[in-house]
Amino acid sequence: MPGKGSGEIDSQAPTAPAGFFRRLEDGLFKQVDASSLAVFRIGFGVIMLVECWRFWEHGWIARYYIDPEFHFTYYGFGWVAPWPGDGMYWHFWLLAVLSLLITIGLFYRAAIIVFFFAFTYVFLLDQARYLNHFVLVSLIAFLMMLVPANRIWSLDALISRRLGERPAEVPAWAVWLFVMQFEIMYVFAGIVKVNPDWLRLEPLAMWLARRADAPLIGPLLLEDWVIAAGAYGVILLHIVGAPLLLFRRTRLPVAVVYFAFHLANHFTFRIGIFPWVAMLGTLMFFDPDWPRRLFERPRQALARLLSSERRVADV
Amino acid sequence: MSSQLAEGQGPSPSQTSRPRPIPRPSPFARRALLAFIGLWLAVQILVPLRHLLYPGSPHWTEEGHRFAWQMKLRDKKARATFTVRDPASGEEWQVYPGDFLLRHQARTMPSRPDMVLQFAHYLARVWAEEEGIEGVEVRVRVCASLNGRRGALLIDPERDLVQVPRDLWHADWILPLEQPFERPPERTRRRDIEC
Repeated sequence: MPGKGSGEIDSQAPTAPAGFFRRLEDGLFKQVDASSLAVFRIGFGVIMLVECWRFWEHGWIARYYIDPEFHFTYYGFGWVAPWPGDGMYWHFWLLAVLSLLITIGLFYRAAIIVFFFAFTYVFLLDQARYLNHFVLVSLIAFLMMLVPANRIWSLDALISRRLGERPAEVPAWAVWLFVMQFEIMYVFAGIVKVNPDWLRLEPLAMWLARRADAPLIGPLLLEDWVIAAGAYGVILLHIVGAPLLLFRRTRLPVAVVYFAFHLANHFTFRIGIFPWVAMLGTLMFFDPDWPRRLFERPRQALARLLSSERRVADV
Repeated sequence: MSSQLAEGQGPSPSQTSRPRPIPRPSPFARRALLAFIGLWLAVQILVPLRHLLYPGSPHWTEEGHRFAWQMKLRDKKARATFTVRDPASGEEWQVYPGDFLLRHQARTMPSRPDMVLQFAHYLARVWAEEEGIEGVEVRVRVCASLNGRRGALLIDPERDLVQVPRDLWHADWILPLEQPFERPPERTRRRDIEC
């Protein structure tokens, strides 16, 4: 068995590392279904559109970027300053239009490139507004500049189809980049929680205590065993669960736990768009054709239903 | 609608059979992309680990805390009082964050030493440009409470922050966290921060 195995590898590549790299390269450059990337693009566009609306609605554009006389710029980015006058409002209008273009997949490449710079600019304006989910959005936008997320389910695809092109696949690395980005984020989110304070249940206990008036589960949030289950469970989820997302057999149950986790976070801590971006990212771990199969099934069922009705009518 | 776009149900169904294969990228393009992906992953893994290069807890010093997926880990309450002093006349002014900052900034800055430093430099600039008083000294007393601990001084109150350059080296003007972990007597109410 060992001889046979190594013989096979040798026949393909002279040395073991070269074989490994070749296989890695082939794996990354094989073509996969474009539908999961398309769903990611649409979801990202919608979330960012909603976020622009939230900034407008809550008056955050003026409060955070126009009213302050002084901004805490990032190290090395002291030259980044808000637009004068109404400029910041126009800037958010631009971000909203770009989000819409990304959603419908029109002029996708141009839209996502401008979006990346326009969004990162807003992020860099003030450290007082540092948020990990804005870092995540910037990283995602950067990676989205590199991938053909408009290959299907987009107006760009509709136009290029008119021109006679119809590729419905993307290289595997385009999907894999996002998988790795979210995997790294999850694992780090777990590693950093292995610290003395968190293991002694703070600050989680203090925060959950403020939710003790919640209906039904409220009193439980004051129980140490409940808090401990949450604190240690989160570490387990991120450090053990997130790697299990990479394997087909364990993917679905872990993803379900992650969805429950993000929804619980959303309702407990009201942390803006983060849970939604993270859930969208978690979907990228599934086989790239999952949206197509998901939409296929009801369509086939409908077709079957229609054809059987026709048969009944014929009788 | 979207699922219609998927399969390319164009005018003639015969054309929808198989997507045309996409031309393969050249070996050079493949290698360049692989190199980029490797570099990207290395940055993504190393940047969040940089807090290991600094002494002390990143939740207290905030050194290496950003861009590191440190989420929901610190409940930090801090109060800051700045003292601006003109060494020429010996005159002193007390400054509170709210005097110059919006509420969200005044709430965030005192617990983040790098932002305290930025603000101290800003005060020196304001005194020079708006009051015409050059060369002031700025000191700060920041009392901070981390994750339910009793309050402790976060920054050396004797240090003139105007003389401290802004850089990424470890800040020796941040005092180490010596307050032991202690859960607050009442979970729903924060301690009064006193130093």
